[in-house]
Amino acid sequence: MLGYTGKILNVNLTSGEIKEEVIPDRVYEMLLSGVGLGAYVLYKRIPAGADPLGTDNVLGFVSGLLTGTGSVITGRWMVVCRSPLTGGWGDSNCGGTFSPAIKQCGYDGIFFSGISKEPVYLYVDNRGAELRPAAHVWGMDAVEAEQALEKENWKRKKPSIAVIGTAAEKISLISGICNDGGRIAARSGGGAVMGSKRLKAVVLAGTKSITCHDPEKMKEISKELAVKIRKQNMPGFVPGSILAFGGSMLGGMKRAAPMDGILVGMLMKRWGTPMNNLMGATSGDSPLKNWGGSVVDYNKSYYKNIDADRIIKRETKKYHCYSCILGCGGVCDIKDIANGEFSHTHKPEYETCAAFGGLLMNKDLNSIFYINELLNRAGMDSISAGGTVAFAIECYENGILTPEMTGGLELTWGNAPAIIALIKKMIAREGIGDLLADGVKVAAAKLGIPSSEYAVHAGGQEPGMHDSRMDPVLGVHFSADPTPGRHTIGSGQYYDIMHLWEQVSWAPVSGSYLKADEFIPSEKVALKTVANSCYKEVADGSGGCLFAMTLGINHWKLFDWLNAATGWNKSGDEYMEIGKRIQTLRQMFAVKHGVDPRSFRMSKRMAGEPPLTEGLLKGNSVRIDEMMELHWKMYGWDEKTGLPLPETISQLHLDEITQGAA
Amino acid sequence: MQIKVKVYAPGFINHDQIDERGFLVLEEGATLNDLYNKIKLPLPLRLNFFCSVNYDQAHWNTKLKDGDVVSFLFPLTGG
Repeated sequence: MLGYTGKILNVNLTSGEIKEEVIPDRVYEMLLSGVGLGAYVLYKRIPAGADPLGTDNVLGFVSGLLTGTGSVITGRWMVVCRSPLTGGWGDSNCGGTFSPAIKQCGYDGIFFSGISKEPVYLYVDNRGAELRPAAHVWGMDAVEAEQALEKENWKRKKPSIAVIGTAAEKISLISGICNDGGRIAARSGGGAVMGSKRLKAVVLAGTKSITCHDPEKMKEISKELAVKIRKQNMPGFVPGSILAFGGSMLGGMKRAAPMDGILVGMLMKRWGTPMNNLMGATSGDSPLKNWGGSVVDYNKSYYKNIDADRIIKRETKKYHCYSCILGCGGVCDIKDIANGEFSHTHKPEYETCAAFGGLLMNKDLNSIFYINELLNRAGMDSISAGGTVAFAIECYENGILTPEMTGGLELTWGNAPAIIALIKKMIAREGIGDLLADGVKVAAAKLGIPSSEYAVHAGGQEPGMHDSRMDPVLGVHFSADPTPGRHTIGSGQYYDIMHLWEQVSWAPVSGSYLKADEFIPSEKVALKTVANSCYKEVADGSGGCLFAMTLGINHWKLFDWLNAATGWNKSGDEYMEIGKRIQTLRQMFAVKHGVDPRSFRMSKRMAGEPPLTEGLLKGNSVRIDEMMELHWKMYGWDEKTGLPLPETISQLHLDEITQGAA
Repeated sequence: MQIKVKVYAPGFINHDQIDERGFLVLEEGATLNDLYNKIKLPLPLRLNFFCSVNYDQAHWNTKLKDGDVVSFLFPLTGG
């Protein structure tokens, strides 16, 4: 009755053997569930240097410790593996209904090793688990396959299904794993690992109950938050265009100060993540023209077309992930566009709008809707795909790619039909698409050009659509994290809104301060980046959502829920130490597999080397090397190399946990 | 008598009278409008939906009491 089941399921796809394994309580106390449990299993089990696409890589689906316990906005599941994209630790998380389904089958995680001879899927219900043939759904896109498997397996309960599309079947290194008709755990190349194992899907139909230590307390904390969120409603007369004004104010501000995340809830409830479409363009947050342009290029005549109002106009209903009280998603029927018709599809999120909007100088919203659907069905990461198209356009403009190489496609900025055609080629690995289907780093290497030239990435991962030249704290997370290029680990703004200092003794208090101060490497800024990432790992161990984190720790009471779910009675400092332990284990994993953490440094362009010459970010550059060193130092890792120091490993008891690792 | 309220206001607001932990001291009986004046809040941002007291939308003449939380809506980017 501790919020977790204490068991995992191990599936060997080579031999077909399926075995339960009991995980000691101490592992949960040290690492929680979710990403922490995943790091524990994968560190111990994957031999050093194992091929990410080979039999020895382990692919795990893990649920959060808090999922299903009565807490809210804690329903995310995670996929974990050795990343074929970065070579180091790979994880990615997703909402929908899959996370509780793992626990309802009686497990905290399901781990796959080996490679199946033929395409298979795993079916699990209360009676047990079995591998079943999947040849009949191999070749289908993720939505078609999910629908077919749902029909086949819907008996007492509608099953929850994680499934790959055709991009992962073709081992695209920028492919992810989908669920709930178009949600996707997109980052780290987890789809390619699943495709390499010939595992088409995981179908879960268990109905076991999820228990915890103090369900009444769980409900009480959840209710307190729900009451506050329910009150946050944006008046209907307020237009989405106001967000452009908000962005201009944000971008022009010289000072920053802690804000109250609860009020942001009204923006999320009304517009979801596309609330940032205009704000990002006008504040400098959205990278434009492959990180080489500014709002001077992508001006109002462009960005007005991606106004969040134009997106939610197509919503037929709001979409809530399991246990979510915000409901930032939206279900759409796309009937009025030239490119195709789809019913019950998910609206494009901010990341997709930015990656196929400003990053490509594209102002055709219809094309963004269509590309979003193509990518969700193929199971390809829209951030990486957009970054790769931007790279291709710049290569084309500079004569590195020729019309002969592109099959006649005129790859110019904002050419929506050409962008759609290129995406189709990437999904099918056809012609130039085959060169680009593995992301910018691989494509640059194949073209024989310096990766830093037009290929914008960190450690092989295309970055999220947020500009480190606006928020240098974000740049540290892009560069110094075991999952590089990840925009969800933290930022200066996240820090200011999460209010960690209220419950964590060492987290610096953030009063009103000059934004320019964050560009100066200091131990205070480094403590913020350490706090951001420790907290993110606690949230990822719990199944928490980023948008819940940004409500603030005094509203979304993660530590209180964890205590009520487990009966542990730990302090904020103790939970943050767990976050530090998970983060250090993820870094140890990367090092074990030969990654040099310094190689994850973000591309020069992302750091403002050279700086932009116009727009809001004009002249901004990030002293990223010094900031990475300070971040690592404050973690207790070697500041020059990023390797966790033996005394830190011992202090965190990671030497004990990882004993007997492969 | 004085009261102490917690204020979450954007960085462009005058923070001179707000301490590092976000607290602002007002005279007992002060209204939200008094707070607006003290932090020199621009007029367009005095619309009801931009500001809440204890997470309820509040009118400019709402009387504040010790321990109240006054929050302003401000956009968040970055994720």
